[in-house]
Amino acid sequence: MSFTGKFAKFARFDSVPGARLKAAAGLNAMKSDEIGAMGEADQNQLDEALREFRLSVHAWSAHAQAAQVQSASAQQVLGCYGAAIGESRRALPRSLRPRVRRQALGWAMGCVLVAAGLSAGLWEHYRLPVGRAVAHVAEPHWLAPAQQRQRNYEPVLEPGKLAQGELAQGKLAQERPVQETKEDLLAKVDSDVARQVPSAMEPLAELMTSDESR
Amino acid sequence: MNRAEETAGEEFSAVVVLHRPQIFRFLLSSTRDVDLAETLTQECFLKAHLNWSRFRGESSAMTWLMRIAINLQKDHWRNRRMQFWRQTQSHAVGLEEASEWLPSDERSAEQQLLARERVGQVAKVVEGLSERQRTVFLLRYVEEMELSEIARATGLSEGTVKAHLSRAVTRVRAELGGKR
Repeated sequence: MSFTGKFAKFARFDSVPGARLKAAAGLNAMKSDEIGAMGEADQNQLDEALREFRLSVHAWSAHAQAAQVQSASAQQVLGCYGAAIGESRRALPRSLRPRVRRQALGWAMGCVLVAAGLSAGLWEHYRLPVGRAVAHVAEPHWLAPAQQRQRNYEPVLEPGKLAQGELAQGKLAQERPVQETKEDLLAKVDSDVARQVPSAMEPLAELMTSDESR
Repeated sequence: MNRAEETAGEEFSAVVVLHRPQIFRFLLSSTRDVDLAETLTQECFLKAHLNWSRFRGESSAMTWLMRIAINLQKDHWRNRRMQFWRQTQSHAVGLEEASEWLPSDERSAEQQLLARERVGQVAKVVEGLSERQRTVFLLRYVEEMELSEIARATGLSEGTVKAHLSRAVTRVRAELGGKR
């Protein structure tokens, strides 16, 4: 039986004669034999494509089968089915093994994902209350009302402003000891000068008395 | 084991040798997964072996085996309980991989390239067909079965088989025409 002929028989189911006539009427310039030739060409192309598709699937299948039964001889394949049912059942798991392994791996992966998701959720759920409880226990109770009062009087600052305020406080804390050390040093120098050269301090003392008299 | 059982066993062995490649090929082109096709082929012949005594020869052995294979394939894909995991684990490849195995037929490189392109186009359409249309199409154009055999194997009427085939071919024709 000719393969192309068989294809041609069933591949033309969709070609509606009316549609072809309409197309022919729309293309007055084109002669009917030309349209026929075009249809023929389409049909040939379709037949050719289907034939090639069939050949390629056959070749692919043959290659896959050859790879599958490379080690097993034809007699072993026969023996698998020709033997008793029990033997066949025993032979089956060998081919199922990779699939079972993949399934087990999939389940294990799923379990790990679910466990991770649950533990993350639980961690998020319990982390803040536990933190608050720890802070509450660590804080002396007698300080609480005073701190509350302080918090009430403290201006509510936005996070940015809060950060700026903290920075400024830090700077002040750093500068304060420097100023103190400068004043101490000046006082020490004044006292030393007054002790060793009392006359040098007289103009200053006069200034002080004149200010007081005014 | 008595004489009748021996004869039945020999008959079945002959059936396996004769039809195994075809059953495997159909399942491979349907599922596009070599492992799965192999497993389903084994299941098919195991089932056939268990029911061999009930085979009355009303249709050919090939049609009977193909019916078992189609049902197994349907059961596999219809069991959607584990569909997500199946899809995740599936080793299915595109049907256009088949174009890699296209025999050269002493054609020029350009002709081979064109042929591969055509096969790829057909494969793309076949992948997009519904399950039933794809089954009918593959049985007709890959396994070269008669319409009456396809109808018996799929449990459909001949008219329905023709309708499915027509729709499938229309899509292939459109694809080939559009890409020209």
